[in-house]
Amino acid sequence: MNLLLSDEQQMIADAIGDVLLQEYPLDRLHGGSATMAPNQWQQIAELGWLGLGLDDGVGGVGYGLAEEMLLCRASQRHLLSPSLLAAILGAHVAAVNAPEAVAGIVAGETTVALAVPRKPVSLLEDLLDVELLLIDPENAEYVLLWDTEAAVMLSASQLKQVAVAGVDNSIGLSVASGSVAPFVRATRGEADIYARALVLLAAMETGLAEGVRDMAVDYAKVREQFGQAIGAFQAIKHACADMACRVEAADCQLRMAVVSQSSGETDLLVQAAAARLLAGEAARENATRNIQVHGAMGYTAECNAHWFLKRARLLEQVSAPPRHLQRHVLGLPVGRFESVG
Amino acid sequence: MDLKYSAEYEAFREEVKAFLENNWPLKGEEAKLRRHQQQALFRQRAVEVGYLYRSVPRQFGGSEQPADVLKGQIIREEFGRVRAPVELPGVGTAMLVPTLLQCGSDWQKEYFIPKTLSGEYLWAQGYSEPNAGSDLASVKTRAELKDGKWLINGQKIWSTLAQYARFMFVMVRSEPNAEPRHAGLSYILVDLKQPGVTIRPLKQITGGEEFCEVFFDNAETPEDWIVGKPGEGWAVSKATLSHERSALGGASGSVSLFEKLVALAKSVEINGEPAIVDPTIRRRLAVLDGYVSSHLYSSYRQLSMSVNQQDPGLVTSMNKLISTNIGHDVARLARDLIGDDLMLSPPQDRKKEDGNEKWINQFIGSLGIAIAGGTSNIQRNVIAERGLGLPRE
Repeated sequence: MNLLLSDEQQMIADAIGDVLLQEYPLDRLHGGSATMAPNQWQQIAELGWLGLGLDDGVGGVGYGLAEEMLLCRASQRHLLSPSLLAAILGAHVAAVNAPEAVAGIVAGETTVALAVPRKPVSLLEDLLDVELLLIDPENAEYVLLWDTEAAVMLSASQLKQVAVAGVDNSIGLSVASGSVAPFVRATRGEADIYARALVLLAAMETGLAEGVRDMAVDYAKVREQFGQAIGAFQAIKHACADMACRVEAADCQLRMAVVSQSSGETDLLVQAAAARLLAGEAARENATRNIQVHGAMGYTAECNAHWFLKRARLLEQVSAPPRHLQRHVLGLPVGRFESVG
Repeated sequence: MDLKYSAEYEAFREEVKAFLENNWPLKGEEAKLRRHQQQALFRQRAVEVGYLYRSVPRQFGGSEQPADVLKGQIIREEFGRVRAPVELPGVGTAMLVPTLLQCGSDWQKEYFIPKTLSGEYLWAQGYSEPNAGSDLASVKTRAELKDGKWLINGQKIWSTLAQYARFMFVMVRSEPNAEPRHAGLSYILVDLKQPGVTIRPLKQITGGEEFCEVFFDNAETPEDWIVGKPGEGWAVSKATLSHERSALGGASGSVSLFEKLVALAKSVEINGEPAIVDPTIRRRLAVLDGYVSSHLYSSYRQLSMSVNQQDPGLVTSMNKLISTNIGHDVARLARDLIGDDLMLSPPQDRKKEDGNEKWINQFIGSLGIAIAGGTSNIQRNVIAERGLGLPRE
């Protein structure tokens, strides 16, 4: 039994961390945006990030969910666009029933945006009548959405889009609607996108919580009041310790979900849902506490603390709502259009 | 990362299972012995084959096995599965024995360890004082060397089950002028059955009496009942406390506690339906379930780190805090589930027929867990200072 990263996985994590540190400083968001430019997509594609967990037979790098998890976790320390997740999952969906589309996604030439349904839709129908919120839709050729039964990519050009202001103003948001046939669909039997997405979203939220923890700790070491660093005061250091514990809990559950996927355990959904519940809580709580640690500065747009809170709130809405996660964890049935709770 | 044990360890697991199959529960005439006699007999056999007290040399009553955390884990899992007796609980086996093995003299090991392992010698811990709780370095109880004996004066408090203990390991101030303060401390052993010692149990908010005040009034102990040298008590006690931390962090307790809570949530009703389907209860249960399971995996991670010779120090502290929080949350949720049963008095001795009011003990008890073995706020200090590198106050 071993829950530690292998040497190779550690090297991958370090390499990803180095690139992000150099190319994606948080300060880029001031007056800029988290939306990635074509050359940025190309750069991460050349590093193999977009096909990391995809089989090499279908144009991927041939690692697995563990490596995708490491990438997603690191990505939110730097608040990369959630379209990174859309590309990773989109490549898996395409690999099932539209293999010709894989190369473009993995090469960073075809971008995919995440979509959140605003009204219930069954993804198994031939024609989908959708109303969606698209996350960071600029330049996206496809939009990706999924439920417990299937995942689909729709052509963005077939949807009517209206840009709206979003809470996470580091990226764009639009309302999209239309009645369209999916460009490609993968059912649960063909690819378990639902569980994979839960794990990777949990990874993103854990990474976000981790980034926030470090931001709070760094500030508590340098900001002085009453003649000493504020990190010396228990009111601050205990808040930081609690952040560390939330990350530890989320990270352990996340690793467990990855391990249960790679060893083919039947309780993957339970583990993944639990990971997401803990990671979501860690992201939201840590991001909120971080603003408090930063005092009045934390309430200004100038300080980077607010980006994390807004991103945490956005991610929370992607994929299964919390009430579904709770039901997965407790082994209760999930009604597909269940509205109670 | 993977969850499997290698073939070598799976073979070891089979060995342990076969041993348990043959030896627990006891059979024939032996099954008629009194329960504690049965347990003692079983423990003796488990020591002989190398399953209990693995780090203690044979000459002191242990089974003297090479350190192997995975084997230790397998033994705990398999013994737990069939509810076979494990190592005796208490500060004697968990704290004193490891400390003596690390810092004690040869005669101390020979004299104290075997009878402590057999349960003949019960121990109490003498660290905290009325003015030295989290701040252990400010201990005031004095020990002076006079005519080849230590003369002890002062007061200890929160000594768990001292009313039943024969001996105490005590933190005393033997070098009153030493600087810094912790350089003046010594770790000595004291026989509690003597005229200079008065023990007074403290009644807790649960109604029970699990810990005591202990007064020393010219109590005596032989000169060579000191562990380490005079002034080394701080270092000696640190060895002991880390043993306690790892013992308290166990995750299986959280798992079984949560299972009982789920059973409760299924048995009580809200608006004519089992409470577990109530959205608010469901939300709280699910998050808690996540924490319980991650606590278990965090203990696997600690195990993985130990196997790979990494120091799990900080993970241990985080685990204690997480497990304490779980205890609080379980108690809070149970309290909200049991409704007016909260008005009943909690039972003092556990019985099968106890009703839901037994959860009141969990509720009140969880308040104590946050204080025992290093308070939650001290754990937060440790995590923030040693783990995150924040400055000391």
